[in-house]
Amino acid sequence: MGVTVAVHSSKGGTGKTCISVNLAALLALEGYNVCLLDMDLKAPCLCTFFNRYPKWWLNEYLDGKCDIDSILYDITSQFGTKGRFFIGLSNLDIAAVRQISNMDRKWQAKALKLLLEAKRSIFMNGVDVLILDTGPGVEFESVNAIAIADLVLSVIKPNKISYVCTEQLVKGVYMTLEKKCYLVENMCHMLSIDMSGKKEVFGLPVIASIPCICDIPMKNDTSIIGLTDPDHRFTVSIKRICRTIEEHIGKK
Amino acid sequence: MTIMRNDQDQMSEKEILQRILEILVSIDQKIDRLVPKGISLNRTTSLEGEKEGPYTGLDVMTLLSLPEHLRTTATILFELGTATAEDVSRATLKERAVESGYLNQLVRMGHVTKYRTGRKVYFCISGNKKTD
Ligand SMILES: Nc1ncnc2c1ncn2[C@@H]1O[C@H](COP(=O)(O)OP(=O)(O)OP(=O)(O)O)[C@@H](O)[C@H]1O
Ligand SMILES: [Mg+2]
Repeated sequence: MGVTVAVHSSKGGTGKTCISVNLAALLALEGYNVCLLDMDLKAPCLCTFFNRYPKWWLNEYLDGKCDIDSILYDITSQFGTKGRFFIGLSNLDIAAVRQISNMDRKWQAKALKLLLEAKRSIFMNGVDVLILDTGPGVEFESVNAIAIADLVLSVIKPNKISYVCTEQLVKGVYMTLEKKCYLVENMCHMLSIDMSGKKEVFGLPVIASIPCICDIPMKNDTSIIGLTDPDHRFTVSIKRICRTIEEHIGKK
Repeated sequence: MTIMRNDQDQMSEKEILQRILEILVSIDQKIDRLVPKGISLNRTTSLEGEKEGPYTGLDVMTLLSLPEHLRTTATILFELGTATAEDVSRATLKERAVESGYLNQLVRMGHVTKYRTGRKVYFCISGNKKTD
């Protein structure tokens, strides 16, 4: 079986989506079959990023209206990766987002089961890595994603608020669900690069410290920086995260 | 020790424990046979009609708030889908009887459904298609 990675953070705007997309693309480039799912159903953005507005969304799958295969799109040829690259998108239409916000515990319990089934089916179809881009904080959809994941990458900004909030998540969600967890420090000062790979926070390894670089938002807006700029500091850091994920693919 | 005697001689402590275990296993099997075949035990009929019963199942926030031992059992059951107490105990490395106790507690809480096929008792997270 493949490995499922949830990319999460306590606060918004830490770089989860940017990191998820680049991890998926770089792993696919290296030859792994990858599937990237937009689990941020309250504020979806992968459809905008990939400029795809399909007929079937993850929303329909979680509502029990279709099977998982009908919401997955093969974008391998678009990026020319060696491994296959699939995406599953969430509907950004405000009516769809409002509907998700109204869902009760019962629906979320069913959604969790459907996600487990989806994961099995995705791996049966030869996917090696399933990457879940989540929304920040303790939202139902995000915790569902964490629950089905093998690894959690918690993206943390180098500030007090981010650290204090992440500590709560580590204790009350990641550890409680017995997840293997890694911290990724993003948007940090250039000087802290040297500490990457050596530091531990809350007993968890910091597997990358990505500096804050002004050209990232522009370069990763309509294209994937990891594919267009292979030597960029950001790309180099993402490759380091790929190595950690790779270790887990072998283990499973 | 002279806690228990049979006609001829004193039983050793080990023999007493063995005997107790055999009795417990046989009671356990008898209880299992009382579980209705293929029908869930905790399907309660609500007063407002049968269409929408009370909320059963297990959402992730409830899972987070369960005590650790029940959470571990429920998590394993999520992964296994449908399982016997023995299957779960193999995954958690706890005694079958202990897991059976935890599973039944989850059944009473409404999170897990229990049913019988032949001689075996199966558990699954409530709301699972397979129980229908
Ligand atoms: N290391 C970095 N340096 C500079 N900008 C960055 C860096 N990492 C990400 N960004 C930019 O920060 C912005 C927010 O990133 P992104 O959307 O990935 O965050 P997010 O955690 O997914 O946000 P949300 O919580 O809203 O989903 C984007 O414009 C992205 O390009
Ligand atoms: Mg995002």
